[in-house]
Amino acid sequence: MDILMNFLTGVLNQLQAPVLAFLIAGMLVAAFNSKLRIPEQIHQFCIFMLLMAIGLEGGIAIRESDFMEIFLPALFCVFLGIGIVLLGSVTLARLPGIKKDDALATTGLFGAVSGSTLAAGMVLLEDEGVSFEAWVPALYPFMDIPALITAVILANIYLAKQKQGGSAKISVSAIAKDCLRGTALTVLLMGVVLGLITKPDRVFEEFFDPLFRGFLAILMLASGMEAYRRLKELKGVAHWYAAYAFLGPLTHGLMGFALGYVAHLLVGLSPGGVIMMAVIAASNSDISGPPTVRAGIPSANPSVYHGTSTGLGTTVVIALYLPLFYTLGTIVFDI
Amino acid sequence: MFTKIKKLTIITEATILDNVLELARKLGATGYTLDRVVGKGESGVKFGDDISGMLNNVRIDIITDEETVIKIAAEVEKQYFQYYAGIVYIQDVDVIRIEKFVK
Repeated sequence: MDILMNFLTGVLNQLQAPVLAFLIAGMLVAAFNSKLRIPEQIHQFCIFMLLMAIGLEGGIAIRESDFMEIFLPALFCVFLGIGIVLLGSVTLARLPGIKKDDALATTGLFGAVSGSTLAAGMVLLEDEGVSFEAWVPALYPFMDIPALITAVILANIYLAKQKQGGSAKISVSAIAKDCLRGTALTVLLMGVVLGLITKPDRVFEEFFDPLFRGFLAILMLASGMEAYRRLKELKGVAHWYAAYAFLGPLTHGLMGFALGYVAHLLVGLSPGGVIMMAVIAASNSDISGPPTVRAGIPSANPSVYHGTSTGLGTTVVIALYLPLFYTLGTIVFDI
Repeated sequence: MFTKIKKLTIITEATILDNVLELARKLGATGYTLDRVVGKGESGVKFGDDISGMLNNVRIDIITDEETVIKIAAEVEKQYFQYYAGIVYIQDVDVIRIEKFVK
């Protein structure tokens, strides 16, 4: 009973937290058909600011860490990225009335990671005073890229078998390059490298870090408006996808929590780090993933995966599962 | 001063822009003009304002001789329009400095 109460209090707290409030405000604004638009350049700049902050802080933290301490969680992230897609391919993709390529595209996005959800998770943990290794959020490419690659490969193998176009020869390196060249990962990795080999501590502390929450709030507003628009596209789509948007992130987050716990036992990953791993695993790509999937699995219907991920998944994870995994963390680690 | 030539217009998804431009270059286009566009069609209103940029649409104008225009249009249709949105048309145009448009 206490657990449930803790979780519900967590959800209520989250509702009052600026992150979710801005997300919901964005949805309402879009629902009222407001003329307010967040221009593309603005939200791209918000993403730049967030991921640069995450990258720099991660890079600075890696400088002071042990290789093994980071290597194992990074390896677990790769397992999670691939595992989530494989799990989706034997569950969601096998349901009646589901087109396999649509399902694989969707599960690819749910294996990939959302920078904004990640940032929201960091803010939640900071507010609760739970510390975590600053390099954990920077592990996100280790889950993001393998998930997208696995989804594109599985879909193309399937399509080649169906002979509906789509060839079995797909270049893994081309997809990886495409991911790495995308804005999100370029900025994150640049931040990590700069944090690692230079001394950007002051620019981080005086510029990127203080602005983090402000830019996250604007990005959340844009994400809320976007979620509402994408949600409408889901109307004509099989109900299984709505179920997946709720059950998928829950399962994936628990997988992330479990592997994070193993890393806790083996290399001493902090409780906050374990919760962050659950958040990374639970989150679904809404910014950098969709174009990669559109290019890699052309036959999949964008309304399905875009609607499921951006329309429903992101909101579900931020509203329900961030407080859930935080609550789980407080129970498991007795924080 | 003016010479008759063709203008090929391709309106399609930004996702495949680089591939289409590369294809056109290979088939003999000497250049292009590019716009970000919004509009409505068979697949619904395309505001092109999603935060991932996946729904952005572009209009590519290519001015070149008729033979090249037809080759490009046919190849783009064959390679991309089974799954990607696309509108293609050609127009007669009169240009100055014809040497800019044909190899």
